[in-house]
Amino acid sequence: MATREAGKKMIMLKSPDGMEFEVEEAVAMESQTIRKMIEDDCADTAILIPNINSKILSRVIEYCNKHVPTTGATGAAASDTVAPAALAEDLKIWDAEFIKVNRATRFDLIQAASYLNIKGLLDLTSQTTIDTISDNSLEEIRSFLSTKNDYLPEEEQTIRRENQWAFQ
Amino acid sequence: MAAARSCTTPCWSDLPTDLLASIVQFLELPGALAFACVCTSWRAASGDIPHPRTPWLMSWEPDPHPAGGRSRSAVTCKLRNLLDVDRVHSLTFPAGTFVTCCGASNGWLVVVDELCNLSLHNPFTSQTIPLPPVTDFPCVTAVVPDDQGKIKAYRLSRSSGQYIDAQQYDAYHLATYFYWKAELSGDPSGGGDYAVTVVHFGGRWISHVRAGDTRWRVLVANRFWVHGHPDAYADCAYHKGSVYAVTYQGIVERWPLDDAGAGTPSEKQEEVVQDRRLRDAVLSRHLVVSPGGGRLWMVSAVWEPGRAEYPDAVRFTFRVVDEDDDDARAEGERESVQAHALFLGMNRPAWLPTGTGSFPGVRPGVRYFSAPWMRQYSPALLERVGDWGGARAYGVLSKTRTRTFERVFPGVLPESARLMDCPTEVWVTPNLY
Repeated sequence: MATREAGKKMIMLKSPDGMEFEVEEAVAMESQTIRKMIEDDCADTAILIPNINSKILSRVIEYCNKHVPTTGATGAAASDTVAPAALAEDLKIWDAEFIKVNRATRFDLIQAASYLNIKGLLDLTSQTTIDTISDNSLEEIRSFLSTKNDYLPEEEQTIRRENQWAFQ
Repeated sequence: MAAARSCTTPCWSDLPTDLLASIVQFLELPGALAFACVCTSWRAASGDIPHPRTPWLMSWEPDPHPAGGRSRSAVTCKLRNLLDVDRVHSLTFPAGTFVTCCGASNGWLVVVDELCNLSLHNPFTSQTIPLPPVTDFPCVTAVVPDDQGKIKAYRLSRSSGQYIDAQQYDAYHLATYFYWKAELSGDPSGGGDYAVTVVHFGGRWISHVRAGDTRWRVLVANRFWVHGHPDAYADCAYHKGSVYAVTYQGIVERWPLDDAGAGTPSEKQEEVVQDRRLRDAVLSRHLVVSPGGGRLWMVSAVWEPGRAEYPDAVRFTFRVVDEDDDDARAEGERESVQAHALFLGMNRPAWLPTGTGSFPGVRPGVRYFSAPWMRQYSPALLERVGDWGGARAYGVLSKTRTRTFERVFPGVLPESARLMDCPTEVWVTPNLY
């Protein structure tokens, strides 16, 4: 990313519901999927992101904006940047706020993170899901994540017997 | 990617399998089990068997009056892990299936049932593999009252030198103390190859069985006097195609296996590897294979009173029993040992790497100890040490020379594992090496 001068390269992301988002290329490249498209020259100026609606896409861009490495301006900016540890702490707090969303949004975010291959966001959304699973009983997990319990009654019996830990 | 999925009714059951798999790998038990139970697609994503990652300490209540026999009831064991030391999970064994545990390896337990028979049991998946029955040992005969048709007791013949005496024991009572230590060589999950060596009958017998065998093979029967002193086997281990055993006096013996790993020990008599009686005030001895597999150590817990470095009067010593000639490798091994934690007790000794993030909560250079069968024939020594069960951590990397022996789980009561009693705790860990 040596070309990060005054005129930063911009890229257009389009959601299937017709919204367009203009973002810096470096921000878009937080997504490994988009990075690959750019590197393979599959993208001119606009990239259509299928199956991620504008509401979720804008949130994903918000995340990438926050997490894009601030490596560009090394010289002058270095003096007034905060210590890396403090920055990391700051990001953690920001992440915690960011993920305070309803279940449906979280579900869309985890799918978006998976499709766009944004490691940080995938870890964040996965971790939140993991916390939900670890802290709740099975029934609570099922209702909270609105999963389909598609076990047959007799299968359910067997599973309950074999995995008594999970049912406490 | 299911492009047409409506975002208004999200269904977590429909998440892509690879995404679900990436979630489940971050889950600890029992969360990983809960995950697999949610629905069929989550189960498919979690693979066959969720393997335990974080070490667990399983503990159980000793029976205060085992000699009286006991009503057949379910036994509930407690499980704790290092990530949340105050949280207690419980695991219930159906009536009759659990009296005590005498070994653990790769997340599996070696469990004694109330007929004094051994089985391998995976507490995380409830799989059970029976081992040959206790009546297969030549020293044991079942006593079956005519009117009941069920085994009630066993007659044991202790042939010791000139005389043979036979004594009868209630089956349940015998189950509480017949097996001292069982070493499981590998992971039996999914039909994996394994062998089991047991130290039993007062630490005087060693027997061996491998996967699929229907009979125990006795390696040593009735070893008791060594150099004119009473002795007993404290531990056994698999190392470089042989079974090794160590006595409380520090004598090490070896039986080569026919083929590497899980073979049958050859007819050859045991070979004495180390014949010198050690005069340390030993409380327990263990055979530990190094993380690289190049060395075998005898690790001893020694009573060391009145020294400032050992405020708890306990010191762990490492003595090489067998090692590679390669010096460079030995040097690398030392560093590797400091980067690992060692889990020691009735379990197969487990080295877990620290700093890699794979085992959060595990500290480098720490020996995590749970009480196995301790030396029995020096009651005065044991009295002075008092109790020290309940899982302890012994750090060797502290800046001072002081070596403390602190409790890992503040909630485990000290009386749960007194030295003179049968052990009531075991580490359940992965075995990586």
